[in-house]
Formats: sequence, C-alpha cells, structure tokens
Amino acid sequence: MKNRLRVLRAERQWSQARLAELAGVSRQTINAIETNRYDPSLPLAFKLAHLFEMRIEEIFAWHAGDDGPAER
Amino acid sequence: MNRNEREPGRRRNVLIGIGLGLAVGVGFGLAVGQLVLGIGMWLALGAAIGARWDQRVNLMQFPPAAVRKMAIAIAVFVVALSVTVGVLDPEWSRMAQVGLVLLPGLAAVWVAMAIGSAMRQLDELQRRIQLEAISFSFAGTLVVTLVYGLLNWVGVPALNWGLVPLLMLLLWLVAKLWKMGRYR
Repeated sequence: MKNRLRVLRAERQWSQARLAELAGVSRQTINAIETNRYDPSLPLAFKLAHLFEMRIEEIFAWHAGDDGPAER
Repeated sequence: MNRNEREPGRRRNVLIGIGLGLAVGVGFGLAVGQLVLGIGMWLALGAAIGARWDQRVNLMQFPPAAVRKMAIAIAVFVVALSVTVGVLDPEWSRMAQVGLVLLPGLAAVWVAMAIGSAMRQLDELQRRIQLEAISFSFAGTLVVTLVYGLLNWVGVPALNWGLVPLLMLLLWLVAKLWKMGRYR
C-alpha cells in the first residue's frame, strides 16, 4: 500500500512529531508509515484522514499485488 | 545521521556486545558444564545485540508512570529473590520453606502484570513489534530447550531450569532490537 502522508504533512508544514502527537501515536510509527514499512490499522488510517480532512483513499492507495508493507 | 557517521559507534557497540556475551558465556558455560557451547552461543548473541544496538530508535515509548511501575515491580522481585536465597533454612518446616520460596513467584506475577499493563499503553506499531519479538522468543526457547533436552540423551548435562527464563528474555531483547531496526 502506498500513501501520500509525507507530501500532505509537508504541505501543512507539520513535523512527524506534530502529526504523531495529533494522531496519538509515536513519531516512529508515522515515519514507518511514510516509508511504506508499516500499513496502519483502519482506525489509525481513519484518524489520519480526519486530521488531513480527506477521505482515506485520497491518502492511501492500494493496487493489486500490494500485499503488505515493504520488507527490509 | 548517515551510515558513515554511525560506523565507529557500531563497531564499539559490537565490541561491547562481544565483551558482555563473553562474560555471560563463561558464566553460562560453567553453569551447564559446557564452556565452549556457552561462550559460542552468548558471543554470537552479544555481537548481534551490539550490532543492532545503535540502530535502535526510541521506539518503545512507555509512559513514565508505566516505567516506574515496572521498575518497582522488578526491584521487589529482586529483593524477594535475594531474601529467599539468603534466608532459606533447611531446618525450617516444609510449609515455611515452601511459603518463602513462593514469595519471588508472587513478585514475578506482579512484574508480568506491570509489563502487560505497560504494553497496553503502547501504540499499534510498538505492540506489533513486541508481539513479533515475544513470538520469536517463545519459538526460540521452545527449539533450544527441546534440542537441549534431546542432547541430554547423549550425555550432555541437564539444563538448569533457572536459565530458561533468562534465555527467553535474551531472545525477546534480540528480536525486539531486530524488529525496531526494521521499522525505523
């Protein structure tokens, strides 16, 4: 699953720490989502969409073949 | 911090890990009567922990209150264990001895509850890392104890049961550091 979190966050001039605080998660969780290492749960995805005042599908995009976060 | 800036720190941490592994390995090896096995196993784990240590990020953000609770519970466990070991007298009645020996067990239950409570306060990625680390630790301990149990049949000395929780904790730590690096 790909996402536009980094771009959207930059547009609002929010730091990762600020977004993490607003979403109630750690900064590392935001970083892991932005780098596509972690796919958030549905409640967290909804919360992020709410914070950006967007629909989930405007932030997160799933394509056939996307079966999980990028592994190291 | 780029990779080159991290290298010296990483080498130092690997050396510290190897040193700690060596120290624990000698103790472990002497305890089970298999010095080479003990040193080899713990050296490898020490190096692995050291290599990963500076890649760790402050991913486990336990609230200070939860950390205090865990620290107090662990301190009480250590005190209870020390008192039990120091005070236990074979002259006492069987009931008194059993009661005293069970004291650290009660403290251990408190430690487990404090850790469980702290885990519930982590965010979803942190909980996932903990779950993966605990799963690894469970499977690793299962395999090691099973294999070691089979080795008993060919004359390897019996394992001290007290080492099993230590092994489990160590594997938990190693797996946690590994997973933290993966999600950083």
